[in-house]
Amino acid sequence: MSQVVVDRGDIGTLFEILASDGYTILGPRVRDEAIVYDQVRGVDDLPIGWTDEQEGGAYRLVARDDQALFGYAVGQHSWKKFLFPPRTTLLEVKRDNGSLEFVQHEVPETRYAFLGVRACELAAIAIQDKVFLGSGEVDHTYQTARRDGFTVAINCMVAGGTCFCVSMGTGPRCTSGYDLVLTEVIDSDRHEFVFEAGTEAGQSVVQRLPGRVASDHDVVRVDRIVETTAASMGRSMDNTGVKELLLANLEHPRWDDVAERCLACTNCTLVCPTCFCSTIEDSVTLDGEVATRSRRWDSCFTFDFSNLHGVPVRSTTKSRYRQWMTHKLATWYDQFGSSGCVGCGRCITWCPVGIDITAEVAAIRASQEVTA
Amino acid sequence: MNLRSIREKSELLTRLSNTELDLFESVSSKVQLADGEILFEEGGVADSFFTIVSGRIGLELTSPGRAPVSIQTLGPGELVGVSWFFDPYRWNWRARALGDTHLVAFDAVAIRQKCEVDRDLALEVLGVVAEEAVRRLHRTRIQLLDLYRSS
Amino acid sequence: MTVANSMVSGPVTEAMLPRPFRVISHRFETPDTVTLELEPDDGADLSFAPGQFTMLYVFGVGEVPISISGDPHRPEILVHTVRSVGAVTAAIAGLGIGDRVGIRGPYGVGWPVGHAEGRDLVVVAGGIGLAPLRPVVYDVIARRDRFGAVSIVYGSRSPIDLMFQEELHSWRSRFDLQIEVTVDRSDESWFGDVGVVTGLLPRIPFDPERAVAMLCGPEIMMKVVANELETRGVAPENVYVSVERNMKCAIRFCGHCQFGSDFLCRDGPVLAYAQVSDRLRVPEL
Repeated sequence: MSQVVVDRGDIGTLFEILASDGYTILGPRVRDEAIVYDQVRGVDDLPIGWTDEQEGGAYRLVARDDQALFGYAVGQHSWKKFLFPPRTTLLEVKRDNGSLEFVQHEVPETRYAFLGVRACELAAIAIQDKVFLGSGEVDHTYQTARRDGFTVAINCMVAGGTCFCVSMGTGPRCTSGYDLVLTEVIDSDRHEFVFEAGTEAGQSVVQRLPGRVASDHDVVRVDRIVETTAASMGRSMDNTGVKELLLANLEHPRWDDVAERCLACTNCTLVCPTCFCSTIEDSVTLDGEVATRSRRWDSCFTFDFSNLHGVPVRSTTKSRYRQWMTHKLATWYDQFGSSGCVGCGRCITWCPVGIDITAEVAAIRASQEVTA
Repeated sequence: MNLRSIREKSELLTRLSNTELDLFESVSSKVQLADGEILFEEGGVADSFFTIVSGRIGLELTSPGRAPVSIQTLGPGELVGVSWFFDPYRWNWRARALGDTHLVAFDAVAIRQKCEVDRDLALEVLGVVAEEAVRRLHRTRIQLLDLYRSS
Repeated sequence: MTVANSMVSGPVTEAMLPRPFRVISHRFETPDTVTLELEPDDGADLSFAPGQFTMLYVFGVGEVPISISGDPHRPEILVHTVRSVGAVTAAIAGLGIGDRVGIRGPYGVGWPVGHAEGRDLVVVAGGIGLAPLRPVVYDVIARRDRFGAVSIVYGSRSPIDLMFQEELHSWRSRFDLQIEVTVDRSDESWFGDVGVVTGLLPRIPFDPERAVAMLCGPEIMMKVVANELETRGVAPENVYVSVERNMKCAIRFCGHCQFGSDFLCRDGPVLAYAQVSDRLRVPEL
């Protein structure tokens, strides 16, 4: 697939092409002092000149000394917000003279172009593909959004303070799962975007972009950017044998330790791009004639998540934290053939008390090495 | 009577050595009860103990003005009686046959006397009785959990 | 975007859409447990394997997983035995003849009845646990010559909590199977066994090397019985238990029914004891 270099002054064309192809473009924008994903209509909607500083339990925006369009890592939103919406109506039940009629709720047609998908996010989407499309039943809403979507990926030019995609083997370079990937290049004498198509649909867009063919120098420049990002990860995690490590230590004292800190606030599950738990809710119209069943996001951290005959199986914060972490890093392998973690660091940044999943693993691993 | 034919099926006899089995045989006798017949009364002197060959024994508690309530049932192969080995040698429950029941009775006084002089035998018998008591305790604890109630 | 298309393994199904069923009979087994017989409005039989469950929906109240307790050889009638423990099950217990519910399913991995063919079968049920096992007994009776010695051990809280009393009598009157019933606490009316189910195991005939055991009841009961069976020489690979956890979707999407790596709606609820004994020992897993 050919690589094309587009100048900063021409980048607005990308928006025009996607809009004319009928896409609703979703991408990063600043809102409430964070970078979130929402509809973007033009270049000016992007977080131009902003970067983020992230640490355990801390996130803030800081002005850059350049006008980069994509000079930041990821915020609290992930693309699951659109593919697996927080609230979906599933069906309606009409009651008429004692009989019940069940009516499937129509899934709205969506035509989304995701602009600015990071390598870790491509990996997260691939993981959720396995969850929602992978075996037996297929999630109707997810499938519709995926089938008609367009993905513009980005090779990160900065690594976040809590990022560890390198440890998880998911980035920072985008290698598959996109229609287009771009890398933003800013030097003293230029501000350009190197585009590469990943599919025929992507190729069709590339052909319509005003630009020049990428030179070897451009390719090397992109490599340099990716290498620099890879070398500046905020975190790392030794993932070797982590499934066996955690499943052999289900009663390790470290779980009590983290339980002292964890508030069971569910932030981590909300921001995690692969968490998929949901619950089903019922409501009835006031006249009692029509009932609705809807799906909404749920979290294994809630007290009643594991209720059995009204009493939770996991009544302690300890057991719930253990469930989340062992699912994410261990049992996910048995269920879906990979880790559930992509190393995006969101759970670390957005935890109000800064619990760090990489540190928790390291602590359990270290204690094993001492006794071994 | 010949205990070897029922030895394997009896939790008590299966643990005894041949010599011990001979001793027990020498102080044994057959007991046959019809449905509802009382084996021993609550508070009675515990001068025998039994192994059930066939049928069942229900352990009951009585109280005035109420029909007796069974608290545990023992079946074929099980030892009936542990109180005979410990002072004050009195039964805590009433034992009643449920259905036609055949048992082998052993002279508790004779066995206790033998245990006084033969400490090896005493240890063996104590072991059997204690193991049985622990098993009953374990089962009773599970019973107490009231597992099947609505939560 | 071609990536998603390649992941679609089959036609998109309306997997959360229930089918309407009508209550055709209702009877109290015990003060808090009811057996309902249901017929589908669309007339299509709900074929199931013993041990499977459906998701039963009550209009506006909610949906719960309920084991099927009927005869797999008579799939034209769907039978559910439900204990009232919460809002939805209380609503189910309050249904009347002619009332409608929604049914999805059947779901789950059932009892390995095929594995028991040619072997002795030991069925141990505690409390409401007899309901998911009753289909096994029906199936075995219908094909009795395929099995060795068949025994049923059933423990209940007290004499008034015994379920399926007609069946119990009818099974007891058969010469080709042995049934032992016990209660945890008796009353003046009871002349049967009193004590836990493990006490009845010495009474039933089975060759431990070749027996298959199916256990259903409170988790503590299943653990105690499985351990007792192992002491008697039955390998944990031949002992099967039904593990229960919260369920919302029953189609492997909502995440609620996870038990270690297993999604009980799809990988269970019936599992070999050898596979679960480690997990059952970890509190609050």
